[in-house]
Parts: sequence; structure tokens; C-alpha cells
Amino acid sequence: MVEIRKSLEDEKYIIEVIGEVDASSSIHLDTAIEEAFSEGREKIMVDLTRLTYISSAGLGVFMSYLQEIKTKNIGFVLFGPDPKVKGTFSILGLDQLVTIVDNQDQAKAFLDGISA
Amino acid sequence: MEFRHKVSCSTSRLEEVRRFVLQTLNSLQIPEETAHFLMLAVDEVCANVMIHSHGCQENDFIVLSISKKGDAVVFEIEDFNAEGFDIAGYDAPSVKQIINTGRKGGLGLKLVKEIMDGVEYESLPSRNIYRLFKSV
Repeated sequence: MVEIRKSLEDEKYIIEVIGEVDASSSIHLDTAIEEAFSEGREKIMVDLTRLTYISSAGLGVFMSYLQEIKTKNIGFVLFGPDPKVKGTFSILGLDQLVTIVDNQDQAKAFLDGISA
Repeated sequence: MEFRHKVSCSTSRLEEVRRFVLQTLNSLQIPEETAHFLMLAVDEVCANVMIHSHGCQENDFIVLSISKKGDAVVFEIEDFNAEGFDIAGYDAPSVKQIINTGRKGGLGLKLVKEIMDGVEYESLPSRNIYRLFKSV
């Protein structure tokens, strides 16, 4: 089960992912990111603080947007994963392909930095 | 001692699969972090079987068995009357290929092979067995 919450703070769009993302629930994460892109959001932070599990289905969602992030020059950052979730990204080196930082302040700083 | 769990081929049951794996590994005194990644590998194989071999048909089911043999934990995922998939012989696309094509799948079996020490596939007349090994 996953719960997705969306909010806006200082022109930064926050997608909070709560619970577990697996083959059954990854569609909700996918929809949330797709909506953010179609709404033209240019600075997106994904809050993983309360994400307790992610399988390849969830990793695949993030990977499937990498090209679009690059092409459209979208600021996109994940923050706050616990060690197990971060470790899941690391197994295949995906933590090197998407920006992951420890907390929300660092995520904000990252997004502010790329617009400077 | 072997722990067995039968579950319907619906991805909504994966959460139940993960709970079973974690509880069993806990009772086998496998460290929590190791258990988490073993659970992930089992989740990936079960999801693949449910989706690709059974089209998420809720009337179909798989049987998951967990046992400890010497210093290895052995997971067996068994399904019935369906076309299997040779996870051991499968040559997964590279991460780069997956990203370039924008596809969302393909990472699962790569994770399984990274996490586990051994992966076997056995196809029998009316059932398939996916066997995963990990030294702990």
C-alpha cells in the first residue's frame, strides 16, 4: 500500500511517498510524477522519508523519467530515504543516475542551485 | 525445517509474501538488513511469475518455501500449469538500455541476481520451480 501526497512550497512541487512501492502500487507513483510533468512543474522534490520499501517496479518508474528530466531540464531530486531504500537504489548503481539527498533542506538547496 | 506459504497470483498479495519472508527470516535469526534484501529478491521473482506467467489470475497460485540448509537460505517459488521463464539463463538488458528505451521493467531480475548467490530454474511437466540461494 502506498499513499501519495502532493504539495507546493516556494514554487517547488513536493511528492510525498508513504508506505511501500511494489509491482501492485507503483502505478500511483508513476501517475503522480506524470501529472507533475504534464502540469509543467519545473522543480520537483520527491519525499521518501516515510517510504519503507521499494521494489524494481518503483525504481523503474524513476528511471523511466530520466530522459525527460534531462531533455526538459527539470529540477528533480529525491530526499530522505532510509538506508534500506537507499541501498535498493545502490544495488544497480541507480543512486548515481538520479539525485538523492538526505533531507528536504538539501533538496531545496539542490533545486535553488540549478536555477542560479 | 521448511516454511511454506501458498498465495494467489495477484500482485495485491505481494505484501503478504513479503511479511511471510520477513517473519520466516526473523525466526531463522537472519540479520534485519540482509533479510530486507532477500525479501526484495523473493518479491521480484513472485511478481514476475504472477504477472508474466499467470497474467495476475487470482485463481492461480504459487507456493513459496523457505529453508535453511547448512549456511545457506534456500527459497523455492513454485507455480503450476503455466509457461515458465528461465531466470537463470535470462540475459537482462543493461541499465543504460533500460533508461534509453524509457521502459519501466527489466530491473527486477537484475536485482535478484545481484542480491542472491545462486539462481536456478527447473521446468517440470506441470510445474516450474524458481530456486534462490544465499549464504548467510
